Amino acid sequence: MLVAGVDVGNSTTEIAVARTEPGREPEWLFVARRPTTGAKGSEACAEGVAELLAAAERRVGERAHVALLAELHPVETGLVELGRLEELVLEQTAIARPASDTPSGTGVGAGTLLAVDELDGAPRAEPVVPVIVARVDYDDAAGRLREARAGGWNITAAIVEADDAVLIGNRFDRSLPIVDEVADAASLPLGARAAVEVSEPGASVEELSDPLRLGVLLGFGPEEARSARTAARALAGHRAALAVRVPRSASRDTTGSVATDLSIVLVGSDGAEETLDEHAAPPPPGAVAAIRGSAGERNGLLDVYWHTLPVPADDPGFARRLMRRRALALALLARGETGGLVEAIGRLCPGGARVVARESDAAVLGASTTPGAGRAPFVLDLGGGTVDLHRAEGAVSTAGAGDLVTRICAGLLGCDSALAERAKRRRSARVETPFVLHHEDGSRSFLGEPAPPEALAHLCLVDGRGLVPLLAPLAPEVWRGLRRAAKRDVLARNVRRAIEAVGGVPAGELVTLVGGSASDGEVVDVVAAELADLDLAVARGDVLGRHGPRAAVAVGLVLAFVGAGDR
Amino acid sequence: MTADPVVALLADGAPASALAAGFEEEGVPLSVRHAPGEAAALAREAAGQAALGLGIGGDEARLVLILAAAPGRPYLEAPVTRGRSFAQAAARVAARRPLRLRYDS
Repeated sequence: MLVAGVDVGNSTTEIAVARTEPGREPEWLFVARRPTTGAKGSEACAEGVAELLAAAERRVGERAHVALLAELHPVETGLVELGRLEELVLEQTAIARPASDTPSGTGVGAGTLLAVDELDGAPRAEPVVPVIVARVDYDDAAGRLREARAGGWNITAAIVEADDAVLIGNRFDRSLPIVDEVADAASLPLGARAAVEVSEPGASVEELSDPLRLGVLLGFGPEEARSARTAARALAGHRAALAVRVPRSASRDTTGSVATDLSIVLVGSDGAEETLDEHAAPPPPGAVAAIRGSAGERNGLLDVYWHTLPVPADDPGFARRLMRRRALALALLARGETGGLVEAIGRLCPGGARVVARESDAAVLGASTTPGAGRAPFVLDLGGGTVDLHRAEGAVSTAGAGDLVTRICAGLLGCDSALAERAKRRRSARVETPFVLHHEDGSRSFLGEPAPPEALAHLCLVDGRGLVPLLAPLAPEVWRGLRRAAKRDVLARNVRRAIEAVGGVPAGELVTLVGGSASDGEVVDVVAAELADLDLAVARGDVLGRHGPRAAVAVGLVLAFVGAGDR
Repeated sequence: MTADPVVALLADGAPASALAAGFEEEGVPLSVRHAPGEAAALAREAAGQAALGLGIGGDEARLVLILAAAPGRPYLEAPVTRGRSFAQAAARVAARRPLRLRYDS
């Protein structure tokens, strides 16, 4: 009988097709995978299964008679940005933003915002910060500033809409702090108090990132200290920045508590409620039954896991920018239902679909086909949504795996999930010159053909022979550290949580890593490092001796079916 | 004598002032000379004269940046109407700074 083991994961669906006959080993004919086509357990997943079954039929020349399935545990992962509400509070009191790749001058200037056209009138007593919109040519703008200063205006800084700061500074005052490329310069509130800071190349703002100093520059009272703090955080780590105090008439009351709005409440399995402390270690699987608050409401939880985004130890500016965002990687594992999917897959095969094993039994059977393993009593399935520890007594699943690592990478790089998924697995390099690559280990290599202009001076993924630029201004060594930290913080920590949840694994025992994340050598490294104190033999699975850590459950389902004697 | 880091050889009709402004804004020195010819050929010649091996050529239609180490084809090119943004991109190549995306549009 031709059978198909089908493993529908959170991110990948795998299939193993074999011919089974009584008294004989299965004849393996086709093993393949594709991205899952819906939320795990939903009927939409059947579409991907149908494609894989059709591909198998084309290869084998025959439709699988029956589809073999395991029990499913849907999981939902996400990145919660606690910083968003903080930014809303900030918008009510101040406009604060980094500016300019190419500012002019250095130092800090504060004063009243006014349009450069207003400099034509009689000079005012107070210091001013002219706003130069794009329709004003740089020669014209510099001329007006020169005349105004000669006429008695006290010009302390300037804000320019176009990329003209250096051109204006060179024609007016090279030392005056001028920021440019301020896209909404025309809509800044004229008459409001503003502060501009430009630091030396390679340095970052010092006064605008200090809440007390910024508060003084913008004329904040002590009651507005919170807003100054938020604004200061928004500017930290940038070379040039501007901050504008939003006029009182335009601002709303901001005395509401930020902390209350941002909190996430964990409801324990015993009903006790507790506020999530983002810097505390998550409780063991099963301890939290529901969550409430800013991450939404979810009941029926099997596990909750969270971790803050990793920060580079030697880049305080980047670290402060990340802290400002206060992003929290949060994964939830919720009970799901599989009924609809089993029936939908059943319609794809003449003999229907059968749930033939627990996922654990299938994983152990599949991993045991790794050459040299003999028997694989402990299998760690590092998947997209969960880390599952499988053993004879069943599975422990922890929330958060490869997909959460992807979300963290996306948060760190400021890119979409598709690019982050590639960035998670690929080496990176910085294109130093059109011909020189700077690699993650600090080495350099010379390119035969010049790198494309859009990759120049960017951190890039090395994808085959191509270079894919990333926008994050990170050195390759720093990005490697963050990427490895993301894998450690999610996958390695969840491996440990799973092992602790089953009461440990005996020293010297074999632990086989399978699943999509285990195909990433860096993941195997960080997991082995995390488990070093347990003295385990941590090995990567090689299912059937040729599929690496992939398809362990799909292959195991066929073996379970054969072992059950149901041929 | 110190050689010029980046050299532009421009035929009549090339936007010399926009090129100069773009380089000035990026803080990169540029030597502009006038010469007859076609943009790519001028850029190739300019690259040979520039200390950084970066040459710009311009005619009444387009602007071209050529690397002396890869003279076979333009590294950047743009119509003359985009002189300022082309110049800033070329200056960023010289300064090893990231280019803005879509420098030529």
